[in-house]
Amino acid sequence: MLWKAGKERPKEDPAVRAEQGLVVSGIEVGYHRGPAILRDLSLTVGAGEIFAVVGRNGAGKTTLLRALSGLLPCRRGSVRLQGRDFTGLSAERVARSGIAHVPAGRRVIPGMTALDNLKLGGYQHSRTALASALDDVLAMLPALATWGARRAGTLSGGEQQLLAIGRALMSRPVALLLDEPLTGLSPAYQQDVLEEMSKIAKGGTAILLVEQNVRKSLRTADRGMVLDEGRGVLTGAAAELLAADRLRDGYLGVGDARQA
Amino acid sequence: MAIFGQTIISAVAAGAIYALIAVGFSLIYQTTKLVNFAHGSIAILAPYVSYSLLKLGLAMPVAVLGGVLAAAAFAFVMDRVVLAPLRTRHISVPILATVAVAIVIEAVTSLVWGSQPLYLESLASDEPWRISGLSITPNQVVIVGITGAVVLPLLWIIATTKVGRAMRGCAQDPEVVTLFGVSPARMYLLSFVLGGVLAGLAGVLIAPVTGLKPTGGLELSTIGFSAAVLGGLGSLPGALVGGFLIALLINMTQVYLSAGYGLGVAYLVMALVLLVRVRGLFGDDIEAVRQV
Repeated sequence: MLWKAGKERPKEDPAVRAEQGLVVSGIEVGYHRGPAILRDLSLTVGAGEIFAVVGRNGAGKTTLLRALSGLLPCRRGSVRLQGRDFTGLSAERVARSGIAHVPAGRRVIPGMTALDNLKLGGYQHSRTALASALDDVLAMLPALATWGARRAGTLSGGEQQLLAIGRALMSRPVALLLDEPLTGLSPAYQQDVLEEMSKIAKGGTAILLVEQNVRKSLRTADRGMVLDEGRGVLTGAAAELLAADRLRDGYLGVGDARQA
Repeated sequence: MAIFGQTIISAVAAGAIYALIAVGFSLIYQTTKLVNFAHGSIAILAPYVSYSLLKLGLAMPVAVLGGVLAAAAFAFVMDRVVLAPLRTRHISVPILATVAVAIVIEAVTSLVWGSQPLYLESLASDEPWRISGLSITPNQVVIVGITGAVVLPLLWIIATTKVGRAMRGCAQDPEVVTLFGVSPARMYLLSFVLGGVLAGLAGVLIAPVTGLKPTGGLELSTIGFSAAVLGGLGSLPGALVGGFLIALLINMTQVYLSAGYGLGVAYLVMALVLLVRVRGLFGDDIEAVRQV
């Protein structure tokens, strides 16, 4: 949630923060009638916290976000946001319940202007609430105002990524799901995106970040999880994960070290 | 010169009707990426229903309203019953289904109302006013007025409101708009119902001019589709302009070449635009967008 000046920020107590955020318990997810991609996966993202899920290609990272935003059904387990169970709801209803999902590849609407893309993100708002959300998002991401009239398809990859994040924030989400937000961006834009992410989390939003760039995502996150073949194999504070031998040996290869 | 002026006046009135059809075509395409080949057939359903309501003794405005509502209701049922179950299939499947619906409408209208042409009264008088040597009928003024009163607010709604943005977003990425709380199924339905209203209006306006025959739907679909393609399929302002341009071309051809070539010009324009400039006059630069 974008917290306006004067509004109460989330409590610092971890238990309270968790209760105000996203709680995923023992979910099992698969495509159609195929085998399960995610098995017995549990995680908690507290309000104002950045939680990074890292893992190799095919580990189930994107599937996790698709399941949480209602694009894929959970076969087992539950998903709760601020204590409310919304397992099994359609993506439209999940969006209205306070979860915003920035999908991989940004997926801005190329033929619409950047401003119309932002307004589309605030679809569920009344006219007044939409104007207020737009003001807040433009205040948080002022660069968006300068491209407002340009068609989203003509923006650079980094600009599109900021637009996709701004569009997701238009709904004033309680939890923000980000799928590979650094992919294809220049190091400067990667830094911009990470900084904006920290600012958003400070405002009280629970952020679940899925990334292949292990170092950068864990350096920005508070906590994290290593996902391997659909199971959470390592969970803990981001700094501890970065130092863990198992992570260093298995996931921080030469290529990743070069990117960092 | 008088003939030229008179041709322009006739073209403006006919263009207003073609614009109604073309805007409906483009509206549905803009939201669903589907070319509805039953659009013209839905249009002729309206005057047939109006004709029957008039026979039952209802007043003209009520009969016209009933016809337009019948076209909208048919579009509603078509979307829910025929197209919604096919949405997960390749786009060619629902497009072929619209062709099937057009054939069914033609057969059913033939069965119910007969294959002989029927005539429907105009909404206003056809007694011309003489202005500077040119004839303009009150009915032509009404046709242009109705088109303006319906299409211009619709363009504004699609361009500026949240429903309009959702409809435009649906065509480009139906999955991603669900992440903002938009229901693509509702947007598809809405575009079909609005398209049905536009088609029905076009039908009741054109029937007094051309007569009512079961095969009229195909003719209207051809002209409307050509106008929509000329303006840029998916661009509503383009469809509006395309409607008037196609009418001008058809009327000029009929007056200065031969009355029989009118529809041929519509086919020719459609073929040329698709070959030379697929985005038409005002459509999206599809290739440019794809490359990003």
